[in-house]
Amino acid sequence: MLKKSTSRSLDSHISKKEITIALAGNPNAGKSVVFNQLTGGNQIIGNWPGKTVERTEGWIRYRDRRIRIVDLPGIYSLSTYTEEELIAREFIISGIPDVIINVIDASLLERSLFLTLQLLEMEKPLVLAVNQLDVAESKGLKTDIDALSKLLSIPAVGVIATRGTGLNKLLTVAIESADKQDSVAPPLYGGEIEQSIEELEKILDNAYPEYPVRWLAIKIIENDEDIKRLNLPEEVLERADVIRRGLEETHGEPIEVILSSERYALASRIARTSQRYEAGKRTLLQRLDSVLLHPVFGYISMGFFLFVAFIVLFKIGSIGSSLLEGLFSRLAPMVNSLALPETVKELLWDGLLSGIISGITIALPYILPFYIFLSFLENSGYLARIAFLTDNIMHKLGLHGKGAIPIIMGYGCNVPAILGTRILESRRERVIASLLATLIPCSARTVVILGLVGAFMGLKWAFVIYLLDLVIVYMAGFLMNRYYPGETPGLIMEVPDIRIPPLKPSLRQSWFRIKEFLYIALPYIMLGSVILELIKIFGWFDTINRILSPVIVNWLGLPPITGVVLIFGLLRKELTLILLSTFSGTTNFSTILNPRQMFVFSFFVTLYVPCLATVAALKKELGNITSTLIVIGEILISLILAGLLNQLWIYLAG
Amino acid sequence: MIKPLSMLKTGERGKIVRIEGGMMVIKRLTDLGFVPEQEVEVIRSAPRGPVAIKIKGAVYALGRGIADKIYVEEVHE
Repeated sequence: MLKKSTSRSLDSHISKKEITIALAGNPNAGKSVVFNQLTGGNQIIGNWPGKTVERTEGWIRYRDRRIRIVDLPGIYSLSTYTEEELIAREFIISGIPDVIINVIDASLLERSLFLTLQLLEMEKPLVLAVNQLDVAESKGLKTDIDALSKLLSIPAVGVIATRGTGLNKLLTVAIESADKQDSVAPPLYGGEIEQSIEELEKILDNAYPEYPVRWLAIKIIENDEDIKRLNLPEEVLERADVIRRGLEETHGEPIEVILSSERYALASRIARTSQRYEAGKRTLLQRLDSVLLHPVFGYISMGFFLFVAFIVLFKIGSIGSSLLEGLFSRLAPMVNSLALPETVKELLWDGLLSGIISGITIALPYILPFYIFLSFLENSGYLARIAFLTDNIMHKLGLHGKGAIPIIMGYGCNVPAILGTRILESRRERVIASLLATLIPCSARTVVILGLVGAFMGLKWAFVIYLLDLVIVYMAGFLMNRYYPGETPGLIMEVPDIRIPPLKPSLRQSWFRIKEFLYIALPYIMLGSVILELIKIFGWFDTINRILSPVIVNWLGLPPITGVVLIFGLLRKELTLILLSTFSGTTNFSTILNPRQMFVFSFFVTLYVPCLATVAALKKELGNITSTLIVIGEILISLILAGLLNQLWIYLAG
Repeated sequence: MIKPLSMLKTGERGKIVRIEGGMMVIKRLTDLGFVPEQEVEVIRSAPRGPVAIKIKGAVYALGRGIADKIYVEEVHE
C-alpha cells in the first residue's frame, strides 16, 4: 500500500542539541491538550508573522536537550484554501521542524488519516499520536495501534492526552525519530493517478531540491494555488494540464474531488484494517445532544442557559470589582504622601494610576470569568451548537452561525468580541460582526443600565433597553447585509461531540486571552486618563459643558453636567455613572435625573462610540478607515436615536 | 431518486452523487469526506435553517444553501 522506505539518512546519528517538534492535527483532535501536557507552563502565545492566526510555542528540557514544540493550527487538509492550512504547510515544508507529531482522534480515524496521508506526502519524519482512545472505546471502536504503524510505516503511540497516558512514550519516540531522520514513505494511490504522478516526477527531476519531488508533482496536478508562485517551466505546466484533463475526463470529476476521493479511499482501507467496531452504547451526553440540537427544545435550553450564565457572570463581576476597588483605594494615601507637587500627584494618581486601575478592575472581575466561561463553552462543544441553532437568523444579518459567537462575547466585553471575529471567513463578515459586536451592551454598559434604569425605574425598564438594543443590532445587520457588497458564505462547521471541557487548557487559554486584552486596552485607557486629568487641571470642564450643551441639553434633554461625564465615558462606560455621582455629590440619581433622562442617558451610553479599548481593537482588526467610519457612524446614529427617543417621550408625556 | 441533501429528513440516509457550487466550497467539503459514493446520515433537519450531517463518524453543520447543492441518492434499509 505504501512505497518502500528508502533510508536517506547519511548515518547522521549526531543528535542535535535543540529539537523542534511540530504538532499537527484536526481541530478538536486534542492537540492543545497534548501540547499543554507536554510543555506545562513554558509557553508563549502570539500570532504567526503577518497573520491573525494564533501561534503557540513551548519548551521542555529532555535529558540535557532543549525541545521546542510548536502547535500548528488545527486543520483538516493541507491545501491552501484556508490561512491555517497554508501556515501549517509552509512551516512543515520550511524544514524547521525536525519531526512532526500528528495527533489524531481515534474515534474519527478515517477523517484523521486523510490529513495523515497528506503529511506523509511531505516526507518529513512523522510520528502518529493516536489520541482519545477512551472516547473511541466508549463508542465501541477498538484500535490496533501496531497495525496502524505498520500500514503507514511510521511509529504510532496510543495516548489519552486528557489523563496524560502515553505522553512520555510519545516524546521519546518523537525525539528518536527526529534524531534518526528516517525518510518517510509517501502513500501510493490508484492506477492512473499513480502513473500521472510518476510521469510528472520524471519531468520535474530534481529541479526544486527544497521540495520532495513527488509532493511537488501531486501539488502541480492538483492545480495548487501556492505552487503557482514557483514559476514552473512551460513544459511542466503544459504536461500537467494534459495529465489533469485526462484524469478529469476519466473520472468525470474536478481534479480536487478525484484526489480527495483517492486519499479517502486509502484512509478508509487503512481505518477498516486497523479498527474494529463493536456496538457502543449511547452515552448520557449523546442523548443530551438530541435535545441541544432540537428545533424547539434546542432554542429553549440555549436561551435559558445563556440567560442564567450572564446573570451569574454579572454577579461575580460586580462583587469582584467592588472588592478590587476597595483594595486599590488604599493606594491613594501612599501616592499622597509622596513629596511631589500637588499637580504632579494628581496627574499620577487620578490620571495614570487610576487608568491602570480602571483597566484592571474591569478586566479581572468581569472579563476573566467571561473568558473562562467562553473557553468552557468552546471546549465542551456547545459553542458549535449555538452556531448551528443561530445560523438561520444570522443569515439575515449577513453572517452565518459562527457570527453568533463574537456577538455573544460582546455581552462580556467588546474587545475580545472583535478579536473573536477572526473565526469568520471573509472580511465582509468580520466587518459586519465587529460593528454588531460594538453595539452589544458589554458588562460596563450593563453596570450603567442596571445601576440607573434598573435601580431607579425598575428592572423591566432595563429590559426594554436590552430589547431596543437588539432591535438596533438586527436593523444594523440587516442594512449592512443589504448594502455591503458581497455575499454571505454558507456554514460548514464541525459539530464536535459534547464533552466535559478539560479544565487546565481552558484556564490557560483564558489567561492568555486576558493578557492580550490588557496589551491592547491598557495603553489607550492610560493615555485617555492622563488627557482627561489634564483637562480637569486646566479647569476646562465648564467650557466643555457649554460647548456641548446644544446637543446634550436641547436635543437629548439631559442636564449640562452630563456633557463632561459622557466624554469620560469614552474611557470606560461605567465611569459615566461613577462620575455623575462624584460631580453631583449624591448616589441617589433620582434627585438629579428624571426617569426620561435616566432612560435616554442609559440608552445613549449604550450606543454612542465604543470605548477607547474597543476602538483600539477595531483599529487593529479592521484598519484605520473602517474603524473611523464605524465610530463616526455610531456617534451619529446614537445621537439621532437617543434624541428622537427624548423628543418622543416628551411628546407622549406632554 | 437523486435529490438535494437538504430534502432528507432527520434520520434519513443518502449516498453522495455530486456536489455543485464554487471550487472553494467543493474543496472544503471533499476535505471533510463529502466525496462521491460516501454515505451520509441526517442527524438534524428542520423545514428551515442548517442541517446536521453525520459522515464517517463526525457531525457537521451545513448551511441550507450548502446542503441544497449536495445531491444524494436516498438509501433505504
